[in-house]
Amino acid sequence: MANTAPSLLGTIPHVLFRLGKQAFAMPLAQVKDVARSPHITAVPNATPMVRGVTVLRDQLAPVLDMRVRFGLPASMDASRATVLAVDHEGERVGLLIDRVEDVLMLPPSLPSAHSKDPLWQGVVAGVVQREADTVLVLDVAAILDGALRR
Amino acid sequence: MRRMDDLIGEFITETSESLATLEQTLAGHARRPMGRDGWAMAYRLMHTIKGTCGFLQLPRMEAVASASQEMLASLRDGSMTPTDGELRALRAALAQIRYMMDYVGTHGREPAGDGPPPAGEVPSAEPHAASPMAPLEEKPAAVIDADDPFLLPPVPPAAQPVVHSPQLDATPPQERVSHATLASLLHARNQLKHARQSDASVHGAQRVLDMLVEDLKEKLLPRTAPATAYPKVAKVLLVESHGMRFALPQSLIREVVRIGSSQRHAQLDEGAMISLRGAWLPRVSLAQQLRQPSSAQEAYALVLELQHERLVLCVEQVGTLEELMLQPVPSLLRASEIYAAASILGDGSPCLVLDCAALLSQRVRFPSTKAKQRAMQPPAPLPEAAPSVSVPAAPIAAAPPVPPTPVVSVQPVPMLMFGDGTSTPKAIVLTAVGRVEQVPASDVTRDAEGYAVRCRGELLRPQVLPGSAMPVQGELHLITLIDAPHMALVAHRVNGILDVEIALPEMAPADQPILLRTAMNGAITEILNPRAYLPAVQSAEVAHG
Repeated sequence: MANTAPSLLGTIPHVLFRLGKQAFAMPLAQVKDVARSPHITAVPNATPMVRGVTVLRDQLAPVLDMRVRFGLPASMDASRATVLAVDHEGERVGLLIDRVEDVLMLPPSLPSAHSKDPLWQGVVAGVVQREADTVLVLDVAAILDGALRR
Repeated sequence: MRRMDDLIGEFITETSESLATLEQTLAGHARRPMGRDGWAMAYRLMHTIKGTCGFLQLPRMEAVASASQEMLASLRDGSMTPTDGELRALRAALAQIRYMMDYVGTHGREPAGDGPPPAGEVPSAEPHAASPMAPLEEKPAAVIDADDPFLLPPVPPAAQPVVHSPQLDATPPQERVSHATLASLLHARNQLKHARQSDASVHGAQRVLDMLVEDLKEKLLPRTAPATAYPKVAKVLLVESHGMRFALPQSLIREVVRIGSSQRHAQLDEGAMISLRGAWLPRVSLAQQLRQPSSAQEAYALVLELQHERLVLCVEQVGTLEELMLQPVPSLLRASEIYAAASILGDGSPCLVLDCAALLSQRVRFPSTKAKQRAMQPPAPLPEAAPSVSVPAAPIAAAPPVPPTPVVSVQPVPMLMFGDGTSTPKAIVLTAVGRVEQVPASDVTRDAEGYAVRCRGELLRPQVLPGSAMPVQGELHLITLIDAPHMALVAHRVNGILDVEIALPEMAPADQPILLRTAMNGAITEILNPRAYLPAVQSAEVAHG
């Protein structure tokens, strides 16, 4: 399991990234690698949210298109996108996002968010306001668990 | 110590392959009973497993392998009959060995205890299985009622050998569901799809199976791995479709043929077929399997064989043979059943290995078994004013003779066109044809019963059509009918296959060798009545009439 323990200052570093205009964050400790413009090989017969497979640090990894996961149009040009490598249940998985913006230091407990929309249920661990942006902090494990069941 | 780890690694790899072969062999036996040679091969594999267990000081595995070996020896020698109970016991023993082997791979030692592991620990190959060593205990609670006949099919060939992942070991036993259980359910569901749709009980059972399968998939997929011996090295052949590269295990490829004008194609109700070296084989397109647009550029035909079943896979390009380190298909891709493994090619790009068993499972038993299943059913009563029925494949069977019925088919009927040396071309419905062989005329001999020729190790009785003569030189074609495998019609040449929209009598008496004379392909052609060449039908009608 990823190390999400707070730092000495009582905050946890998070990666801030975007899908379209929406800002998201996930714990930095869960991110094993950031790959820009990766070569993704399409996989026929896979579920729509699986964009393909790629090789991340010598490990073969399916790539989950986070745009499709959250109901946005699929990334038109994956070669200009970014892949965040995470590990889930012993396997490496790539998360296809638009771009990484920053690293945020967030407190361990965040205001929770609830939604009746099935797309968002159970996958948002918290919400934080950053300047004009509402940043949704994602529960990546829940997202990947859900993707496995589809 | 390092040396011991290497030995254990090799042992797991080799034993896993041996177990997979044994499991496939037992599954194949359910459909095609094995002879002495098959049991002898199984005995030798188990003997090797037992010997290696002894060398590596794995007494529990050795004990189960020893008991299984004794049973296989009895089956090989004929002193024991392979009943369902014996087969279940063997499958359970294989599951026990596989479970312990996986445990060795994970922990470096056998599970603690003596004798075979209790059933609760072992992912059962099937419900209520009993091992040669000791009867297994009750099945896990999550496995559905084994008394239901729909849930007790033979383990299908596509069933992957299953070993639970370390995560699964922490799962309560009552929640464990093996891949074999799911595969058995899928097999049962597929069989039901072929059952009569009008049967309400079958329809209900199918719905129940659908729900069970979906339920089990959720419990199974996140927790189990499809194979245990990964990473493992395998030789694969790279193929291409729509610019994407995939791999096929070399061990399952019998032949690679460039598709040319010499190959004939036919589209039947059951699917596409292709003729290769005189035999008709079911054909699938890789592009279609990948749900891509049909490719007109599929120039290569790969003959795949698994458990004596063959299938032709058409691909656009054939690449190189490579030796790859295979790893399991990522969990996110397991919903697609067409992939068996994954790997990284030498150029660093990812590659998926196609699951040949999944490809074959779509078309195995085709066409002969299906035709025979139709043949075993009595002819369905026809309504008085039935507008049409299917092509006359079913009436060809050795069913009780019935009076000719004026019901006709107006659907396109694939016909095998051939010449018999006379001026009139001949045709016969393709669904009645089991095989077309080309043999030298000099191979044909004659005895008191007529012509004879040895073909593929079997004696065939060639039958010359009325008005024709047996060729004395050159080559001749032997057209074997599905329901008369030891008799063959003699053709001087085979002209190909033609889809003909024609009205054929649904049932014609056996004493009528010609169904119809009609213009086909620019010539007056005689369409043969297959029933006239089936010895069983002839004798039945003679007795009846």
